[in-house]
Amino acid sequence: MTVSKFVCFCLVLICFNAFNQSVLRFVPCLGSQAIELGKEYTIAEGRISFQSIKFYVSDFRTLTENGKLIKHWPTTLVNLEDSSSQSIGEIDSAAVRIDFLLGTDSLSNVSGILEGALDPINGMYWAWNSGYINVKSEGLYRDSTGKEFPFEFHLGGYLAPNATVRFLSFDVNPQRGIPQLVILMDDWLTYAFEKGIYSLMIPGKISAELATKVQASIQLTYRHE
Amino acid sequence: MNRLIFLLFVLISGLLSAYRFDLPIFKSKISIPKKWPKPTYDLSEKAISEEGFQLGRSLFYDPMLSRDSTISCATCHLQYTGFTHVDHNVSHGIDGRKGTRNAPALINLAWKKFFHWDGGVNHIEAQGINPLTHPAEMDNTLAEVIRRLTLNDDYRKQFQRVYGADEITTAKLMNALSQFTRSLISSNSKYDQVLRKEKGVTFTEQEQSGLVIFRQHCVSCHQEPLFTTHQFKSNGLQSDPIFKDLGRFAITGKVVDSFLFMIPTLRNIEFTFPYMHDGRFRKLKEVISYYSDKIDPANSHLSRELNGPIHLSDKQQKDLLAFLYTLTDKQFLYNPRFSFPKK
Ligand code: HEC
Ligand code: HEC
Repeated sequence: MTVSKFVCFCLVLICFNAFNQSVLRFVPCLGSQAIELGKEYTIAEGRISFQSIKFYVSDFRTLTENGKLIKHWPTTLVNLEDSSSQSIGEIDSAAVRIDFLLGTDSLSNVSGILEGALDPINGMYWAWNSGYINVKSEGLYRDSTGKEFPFEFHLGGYLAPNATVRFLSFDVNPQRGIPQLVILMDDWLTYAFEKGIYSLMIPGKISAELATKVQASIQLTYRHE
Repeated sequence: MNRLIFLLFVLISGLLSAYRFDLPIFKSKISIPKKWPKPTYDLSEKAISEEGFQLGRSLFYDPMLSRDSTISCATCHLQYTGFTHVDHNVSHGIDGRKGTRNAPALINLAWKKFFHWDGGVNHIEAQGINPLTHPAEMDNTLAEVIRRLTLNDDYRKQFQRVYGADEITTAKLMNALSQFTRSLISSNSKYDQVLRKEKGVTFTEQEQSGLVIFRQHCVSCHQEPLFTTHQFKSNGLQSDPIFKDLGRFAITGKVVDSFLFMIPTLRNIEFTFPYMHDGRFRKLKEVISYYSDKIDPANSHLSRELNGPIHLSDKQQKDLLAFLYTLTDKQFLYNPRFSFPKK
């Protein structure tokens, strides 16, 4: 094989790979807009801006048609302050299914102090009531009259019956484009706002209920470059 | 004259060497007292090294961990009083800010599964985050604590020695602190010596009578040998009007857990005053008179083990008190291994 043929071969290989694998991202949205921190958006007759959006994703897996595991990712913390944290990783072209936990598994919550994404230094750990905050969202909501409601949602708690970790599973077809997991923030936030809940920092029934709403607000869509 | 000088010289050099060489009082290996239950946490040499223990000890006594470098763990957990905060109903932290609870004694923690009066903390390593970051305690952030320790050559070297890498992380910091707190074992009171049938140690008649009363009325909750079942119960105290502490309910959200608190150990109880989660009793006598005469049987939270005042005569109260004093372990309270580390 000549050198030029070899280079050509490599290029084809690289293109093939780039075409067949794609980086999956988590994208918190309002309507069809991807959220940027600090920017104002319209939500249910009012305006909203976000100071922080952070959540844990554990046991992210890709699976083949016959349920074989392709890849398993360690727990990551998605933090909108750092857009690289929104990328989970390449989804293999053979993958037909992905599944993951939104939040931390219960073992992580009773194992003392962990490192990396689970280091309490990341501000996602409750000291007074041991355990992780699985989903955090803070910001300011202004209703149609201009009245301001700062909001703070720290959803966590690992104990039954109010555990807040949620399992999600989606069919995926990388041929259709680059898969992304969209979180429709307005879905669950308006639900809370309508109930007059703007601050929630303890585990319990309401946290568990909201965690289920967040779970339902996540959809798999495809991006086309 | 020469002989006198020589003798003085011998004496002084002897004294000096006693300072220079820190004679180990205990082996670094922790021995679990015979007939005690299995501890929750590993106390083997694998889990607690001499260097790890010493690092934990330095951290425990170091005010650098607090925001303004004024408060260390030992400010609220004083060795001579069983590592509790004497003279304060509820503990005082930074800027004199008051907490809402009495600092518990730190004794035989390695046998516990849950920490704090409401059991909100589920791991001994996770406990340390509370005091470090609580606004009424040390009021610092984890990032700042790690930053300060990382800037300190001495600590970096110590962490290197214990963990084989000088990068300081939250997990290592908390593990080091817990190597110290896990080692705080008290098992050499007169009570222990009598039970071990040590030569020449016996209960007085009064203490023996107190033990009988104790085993009749108290042991169902303050179970030997740790003097606690580690459960959450109510001994019938009326809720305090200021803090309105709901106890275990705040953690579990279950109505049946309202006003339940951890059953504290009674080891070294002579010195761990004030008593109860809010420090409402200053004297042990008051506690005994509470159990004897003041429990409100109509209190709906009162746990089954008690169904009202236990009615002890004056003599019985004194006997019970005498027995409780036998739980004092001077070797623990004055063990130089647990005291402020002199550099
Ligand atoms: C300002 C006073 C204060 C300081 C400083 C402080 N503590 Fe405490 N400590 C308390 C109080 C009060 C509690 C009980 C908290 C509760 O029940 O909510 C407590 C509880 C504990 C417990 C749980 C004991 C049990 O039986 O459940 C441990 C362990 C402990 N502290 C260790 C530490 C360590 C280690 C430090 C230093 C990093 C520290 N404390 C610093 C006041 C303090
Ligand atoms: C129902 C279980 C139960 C029984 C029986 C019981 N206690 Fe207690 N005891 C507790 C609980 C729970 C606390 C902590 C209560 C609080 O702080 O609100 C406590 C606290 C104490 C304290 C204070 C300890 C400290 O460090 O603050 C002493 C002393 C004490 N008990 C002694 C006794 C004696 C003596 C008896 C027998 C006469 C007895 N107890 C029987 C459950 C019990």
